[in-house]
Formats: sequence, C-alpha cells, structure tokens
Amino acid sequence: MKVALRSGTAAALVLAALIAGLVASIHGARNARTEIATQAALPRVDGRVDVFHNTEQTRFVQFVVDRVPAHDRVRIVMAPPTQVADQRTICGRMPLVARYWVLVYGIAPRASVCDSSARWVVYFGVAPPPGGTVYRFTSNYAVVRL
Amino acid sequence: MTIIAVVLMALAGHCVLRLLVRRVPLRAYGVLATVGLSVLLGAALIGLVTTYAAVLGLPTRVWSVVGPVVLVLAVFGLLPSRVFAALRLPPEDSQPAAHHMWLADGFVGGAIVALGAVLLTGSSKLVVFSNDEWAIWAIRGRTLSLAGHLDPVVFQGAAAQYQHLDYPLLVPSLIAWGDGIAGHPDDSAAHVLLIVLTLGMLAVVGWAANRLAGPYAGVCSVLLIAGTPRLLAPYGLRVFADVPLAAFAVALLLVLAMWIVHGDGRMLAVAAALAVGTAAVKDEGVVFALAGLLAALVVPAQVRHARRQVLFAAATMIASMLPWLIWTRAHGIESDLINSQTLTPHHLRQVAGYSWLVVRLIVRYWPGYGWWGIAGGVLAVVLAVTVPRLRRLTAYLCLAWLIAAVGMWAQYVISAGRYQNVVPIPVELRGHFASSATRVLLVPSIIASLAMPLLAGGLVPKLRRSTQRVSQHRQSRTPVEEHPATAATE
Repeated sequence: MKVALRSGTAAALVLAALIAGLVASIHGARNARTEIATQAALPRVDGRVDVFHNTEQTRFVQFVVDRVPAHDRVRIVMAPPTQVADQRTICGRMPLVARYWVLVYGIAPRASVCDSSARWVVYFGVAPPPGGTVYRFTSNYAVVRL
Repeated sequence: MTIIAVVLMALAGHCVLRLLVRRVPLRAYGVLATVGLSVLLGAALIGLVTTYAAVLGLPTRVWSVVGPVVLVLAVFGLLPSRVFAALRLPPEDSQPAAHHMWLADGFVGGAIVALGAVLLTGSSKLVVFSNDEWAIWAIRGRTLSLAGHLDPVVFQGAAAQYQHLDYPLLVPSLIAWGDGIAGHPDDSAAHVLLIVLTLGMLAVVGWAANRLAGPYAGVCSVLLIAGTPRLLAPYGLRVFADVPLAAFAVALLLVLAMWIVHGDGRMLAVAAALAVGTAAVKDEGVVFALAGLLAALVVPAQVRHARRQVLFAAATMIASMLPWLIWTRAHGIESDLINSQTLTPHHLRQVAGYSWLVVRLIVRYWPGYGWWGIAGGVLAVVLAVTVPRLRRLTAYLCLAWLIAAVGMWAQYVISAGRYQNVVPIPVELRGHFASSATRVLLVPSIIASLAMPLLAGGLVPKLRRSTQRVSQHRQSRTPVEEHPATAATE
C-alpha cells in the first residue's frame, strides 16, 4: 500500500513535470520565434542593422571602417548623454552609454584608446576642431588623422 | 559555412570523447550521448586551444593554430579502432553505462529536433544586438578573429574601460571560430554555435536522465529545461555566456550522476573534460563545476579510489584554468565581483548585513517554475529518500544544488557595495539582481527543476519496465540483481 502510494505520487509528479515542461517549452519556443522575427525585421542601412536607430550614425560606422586601417587605434569623442548626470568624457570614466559600445564594436578591431597611442580621432556627434587631416562625413561626424 | 564550423567542432569533440571513453562512443553510448558530448567537448577544445594560443602570443586567427588542431582531431577521431589501440591508453575496467533505450531516446531526440528547428530556422537573420553582446562577448570574439591576438587595449583594458576583462575566452573563441570558417565576421555563425551548445546539453541531459530514472525522465527533463523562463529566448538566442555556461554545467552534473550511480569510470573522465569547459565559459562556471565535483566527492561512486579520482578531475579543471589565470593576474586583471577590494575583512563585515536581502532577492528573481516547481522538487526529494537505491542520487543532487545556490548567494553578497560611493548598497544590489539574476541563477534553477523527473522518475517501476531494454551484457536475470539505478522494484 505504502509502495503503491509512493509510486502513484511519483507518477503524478512525473506527469505534472511533463505537462509543465511541455507548456513552458512551447511558450519558450514561441518567444524564440518572436525574437527571431523581431531581429529579422530590424531596419537595415546598406545591409547593416541600424543599431543606432539613426541612419546617419549607422552609415558613419562604415565610413570609419573604410578610412581607418584595421590595426590603428582610435580615440572616440562623443557628446555625453544629456539625461545622465555624470557629464565626464568617455576617457575620463564615461557613464554607461550603449552607443559608445555599439560604435566600438562596429569599428572592431580598431581599438578605442584614451591615450597618445591613438592615430585617429573619431568625432561622433561632435564637430571636430581645426587641425589634422579631417575626413568629414557630416558636420558632426568626422574622422581626423593625427 | 556555419554547418562546416559546427560539424568540425563536433568531430573534434568526438575525437576527444573517443579518447576519454576508450571506445567508439556511438557504439558504447548511443547517438544522444555521442552527439551531445561531442558538441560540448568540441567547444571546450576550441576555447582552450584559442586561449592557450593567445596567452602564448600565438595568432588567434582560426587557420593559424586552432583550425589545424581541430582538423587533425576531427579526422583522427574517425580512424579505425586499431589506430586507437596502438595508442595503448590505460585500460578502463568498469563496464560502460550502455543501456539501449531506443524508444525513450527517440522521444528525447524528437523533442531536441523540434526545439532545434525552432531555434535554428531563420537564425541567419540573428545579429549582435544588445549591450552585453557588444560590450563583453562579441567585441572580444571579433578582436580574436580580426586582430588575431590578445590586443592589450581590449583584453587588458590598457587604455580604455572595456568590461569584465577577467572573463575566460570560450565564448569569444567560438565567435572567432565561426568568423574564421566563414572568412568574415559572421553573426549568424556565432549564434548558431551557441544554440548548438544548448541542444547538445539537452541531448546529454535526455540521455543521462533516461538511464538514471527511466524512460519518461529524459523527455521530461529536456522539456523542463527548455521551458525555463528566458532560456530559449532571449538568452539562448543572444551571444551571451550564460546559456552556454548552463549547457556545460548541467551536462557535467548529469554525467557525474551517471558515474555515481553506474560506476562507469569513463563518465568521470568525460565529467573532468566538461568541468574544464564549464570553467572556461565564465567566472561562475568554477563555482558550478566545483559544486558538482564537491558533491561527487561527498557522495562518490562505489568504486575503488573514487574520491581520489574526483580530486584528480578537480585538479584537471584547475590546471586547465591556470594559463588564463596567470595571464590575467600578470596584467593586473581581477574579477569585477570577487577581488582584492571585495575580499577584505572590512568590506565583508560591511556587506554581511545584506545577506538576508540577497536571499530575498534570489527568491524574487529565481528563474524557475515558481513555488509549484519548488514544492514538486521537495516532494520528489522526500519520496526519494525513503528508497535506499535513490538516496545517493538524491544526496548528490541536493548537495550540488545547495553548493551552487550558496555560491551564487556568496557572490552577490561579497560583490555588494562596489559602487557605494555612487548609490546606496540596497539600491545597487537590486540593480545588480535586476540586470543579472535571471541569467546567473539559471544553473541552480535547472538543477532544482530536474529533481522531479530524476527522483520521481526513478519511482515509477511499471512504466519503466515496459519500455526499457537493457543491453545483453548488462541485463540481469531478476530485477533485484539489476543495477541499483535501473532496478524496477525494490
């Protein structure tokens, strides 16, 4: 009797786990399809996903890649986000800004540095000052060779 | 090209598996174990070879070191048995845990094929699209494949604030592997390689669960894991390390359980290799691997020198980590969470007061099946401890879960207060949990979920006896004489 009760309870548990797993994995599979569909539908600019949600910025990444040799170091100058209290520059210990990492990733393997090893300066949303060899994409997006 | 990357990885892993089990894996352990373990061991191999090449200053582009190694092993693993016999590997006396369970394995295989179809159809459209992908994993993978070395700016933070510099290189290595085979940065290959690890884990879990707890445990375990909230999506579809970490850690725990229950020494060798992979994915991997190995040390297989063998497996894992640890320490790189600042007595005294808050936050963010799942798991444990033949497996699972959960609790407590100059500790802790807990707690959550099929499944004798077929050389004449884990009656 005791063994039968135990076996019955165990069978019920296995059945419950099977149903819970089936329902949850179908839910997970649906989420996966939604995620894949969402990513497939992302807007693209010249074949690249418009990760900045800004055509100009996404095209500028390719502009940098086309001009800066793969193994040169770059320094990134980017306007601090207005909604963040910490207004220090990126190299002075930047606030967590997703678009900085998107840019760094987009131009890899051109590593982002803050010191004098940079051979190029990438002005991202900031007008470059006079001097150096300026490759201008737009007024606020440019690459300067030092 | 992505298919070639996956196949080469799996074939190299197959060679490693064949060397570890000293038999043709397909014949000894069947399709599920062979495919699942080959994929995981192949990924571990690529991660390790890339890491060692990198720290030795060798090129990390695929066709410099890693590719030739993988190619040679992939071909070598397919050579006839007499070639392996010529290697004169040390003999393994124990019998392989080689029960043939065609129907039960077929259900598991069907579930995995269905899940694979869901995850892989349209995977060519997957892109690197979120912060941790850009800032931590993909940037390092792309630097390995495009720069071809451990660029000090990216990997040492020499001149910029790159994040989590201490994280090991298995996931970036796989990204570089996909890029190298494709010949260009390939987001789709990176995603597919990581998805395949998830599927590999499900195959290993289904195979092991069938043999640990009967034919319904396999498919039940696979579905429970696949249904873990956020596991398939979004985490499983992103270039994150958390699901690959769960893949290695959960496979390790189940393979160790196979060794404990069946006493098959080959499984401990495979577990050691999986522990190496687990530790090579992410810092937390060391905790999870040690959770499994410590639990196996307390509840070892009933074979000669069992504890010594577990210690050897743990030593293998630690030795495999040394090159990366030495390289990071030599460049002044520490963990962001557990480091010389957070391990001081002053800091520990300061954060000790938040221990209970961390417990409450773990409960709140637990990525499992809620209270019903926990109640079911507890009931399965209570039922299992009343049966002598299930006590070892129960003790092992409970211990592994406890060590993993306590390890994560300790990590959250110790790492609290890192930004107390900017935000109060409770606020920081809540933010840390909100951003990480549903990923970091995946492994202990999955272990808890598996309690039901693994323990309760072992108590459903009639259902099991009707479908299980045991291979001839293992089959006993009476149920009482069967192996303790598969005996149909008590």
